[in-house]
Amino acid sequence: MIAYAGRRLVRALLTLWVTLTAFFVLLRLNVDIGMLALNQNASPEAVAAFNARWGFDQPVLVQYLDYVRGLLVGDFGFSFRDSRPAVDWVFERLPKTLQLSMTGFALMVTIGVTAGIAAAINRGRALDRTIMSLAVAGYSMPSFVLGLGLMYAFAVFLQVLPSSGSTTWAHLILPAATYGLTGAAGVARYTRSAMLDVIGRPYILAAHATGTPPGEVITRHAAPNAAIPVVTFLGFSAGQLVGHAVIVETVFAWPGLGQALVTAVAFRDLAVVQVMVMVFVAFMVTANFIVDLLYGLLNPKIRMAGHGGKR
Amino acid sequence: MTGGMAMGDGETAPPLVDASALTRLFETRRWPFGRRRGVRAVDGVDLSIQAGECVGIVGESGSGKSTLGALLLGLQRPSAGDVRFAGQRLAALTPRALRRLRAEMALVHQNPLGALDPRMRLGPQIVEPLIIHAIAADARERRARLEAALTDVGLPPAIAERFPHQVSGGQRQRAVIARALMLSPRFVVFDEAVSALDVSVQAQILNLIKRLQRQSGAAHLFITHDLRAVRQVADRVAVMFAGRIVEDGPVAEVIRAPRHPYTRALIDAAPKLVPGRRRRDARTTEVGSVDAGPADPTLAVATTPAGCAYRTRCPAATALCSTVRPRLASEDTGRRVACHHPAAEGAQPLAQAS
Repeated sequence: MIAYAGRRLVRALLTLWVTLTAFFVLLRLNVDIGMLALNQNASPEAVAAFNARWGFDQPVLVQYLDYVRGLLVGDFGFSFRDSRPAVDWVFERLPKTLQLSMTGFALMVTIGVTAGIAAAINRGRALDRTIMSLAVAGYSMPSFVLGLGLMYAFAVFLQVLPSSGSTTWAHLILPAATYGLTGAAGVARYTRSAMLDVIGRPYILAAHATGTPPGEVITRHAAPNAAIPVVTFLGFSAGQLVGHAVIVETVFAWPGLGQALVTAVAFRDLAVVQVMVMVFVAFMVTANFIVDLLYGLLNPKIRMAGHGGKR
Repeated sequence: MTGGMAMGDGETAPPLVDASALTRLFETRRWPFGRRRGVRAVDGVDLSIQAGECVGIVGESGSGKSTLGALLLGLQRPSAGDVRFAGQRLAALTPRALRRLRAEMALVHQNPLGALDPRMRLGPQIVEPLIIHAIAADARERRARLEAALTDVGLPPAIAERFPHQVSGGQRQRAVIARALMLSPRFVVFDEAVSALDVSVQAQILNLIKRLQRQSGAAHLFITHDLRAVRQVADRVAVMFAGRIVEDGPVAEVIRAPRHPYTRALIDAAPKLVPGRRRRDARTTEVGSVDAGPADPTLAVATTPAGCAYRTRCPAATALCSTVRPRLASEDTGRRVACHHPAAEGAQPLAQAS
């Protein structure tokens, strides 16, 4: 298991490095950054001075080596706008985004998995049909529509929750619910089909035939086996966690990374964008790494693949 | 092989498992104005099994034999009729009481890879019934019982640490059997238990099943489409066609001199490995006829309320067969047959299955 985790970790770090390099080079191809960052009417001298100041007049390879050297000592570059370290820009907003997306993700998993299992157990009955109709509705509805709907219902009509901002925990409820409910729809559908697949297997019949109470059949055999495809799906979702958060953050004026990303791109604030991309990639890679680890725990065939087990 | 228990034994000792007029109807989806259609998977079956007896059920796929097994175990509810286990009506039990009674019954499924949880090591799966029924609470005792069970089915103790995908098909089926027998059940249903295995492994597993039954004195129901397997393990055989028992009796007798034309067709269809003997063309034709008729029970049963379901495939069918359903009539030899024109007593079958 440790060797398995080690292999996955090396792979995760490699992915992070390759993405970073590719992104770094792409941003510098064919683009006069000075021109973009200042504006179309800036004088050629001003542009040249800007490029010289930030090192954009150097060959890409030199810039890259400089950048990597900087990374090794914790220097991620500076914002064009106020010359503050780019990392500060990102890290003062990251906690807010994490707070929103983690709460939303937890809601999404809890609601989605519970609803999916409930639907699968009651297959074909009214409860199943209700849950699946809601899931289709939730799946088809863009998150900003749901967000505005919730805002209207709870902030405008009932006036029990704040509509925007982030000062108290109450402010977190609506954005997190928006995030969680939209995601839960997909999770519920996925969980239901995974459960139905497993429930039809002979070992489930065998468990019933042994006299295992229905609840224990689910917890001992059905759910752990159905978890494998669901975890895959959750892994994809976790990778997009921050991306989804951007939309919700905008609707509820949540001061997270989402808004900062939009501003940074608008200002062509290269170093800041680069750090943000790094954060997003790190998020994605971490999510995949965790999924890989969970796979190993959930599926002995995968864990054994390294030493002699049949794939 | 023993000659099998005579039917008359039922009068002296009450049967352990007793099904009467057992019927299971599967309804197809009903549309608001559509006609109700259904399949009688099991149709008025009377069958009793004594403790210590192994009854074989043979029949083609779709004949209702697996459904019969599930009904006898109470895994499905009958649409009509009754199953009694040790005198108790299964349908009258609460789900809780039925679950508790399951400690005395077991099912060995056809596909041993599917019957094992792919995520669990074999050991914990085999002892799981002990945990479910709270029988051996402490781990030491479970360990001891696991080792005894593994030895019983001829598996090395080290196999307990393996996952199902790491062992061979025969070992898997042994593990499934070990799990089924963990609680020393009084009634075990083997549903096509050896069909998925290599022929050489089949023989080993059949011997194992036979030996374990002799040791435990449990009642076994052995469901298969393979007459040779039945001959090897069963005392008595019941032949099913379209949800009904068409013939039953001591296994050697039934195979030696089948009374029902369907039984004869089954026997003739079974491959014979006797050197120097080849099937005659006439028999090959008859083999073909087994597949030629309407194997779909919907056609065979739902649309023919009267008459014998087998008549469309039967060489001996007469006008009587299409109007009057033959009843399963007991004969004084301890056999039962449901046919208007059974083969004469002592008549030589087309082929002897020896």
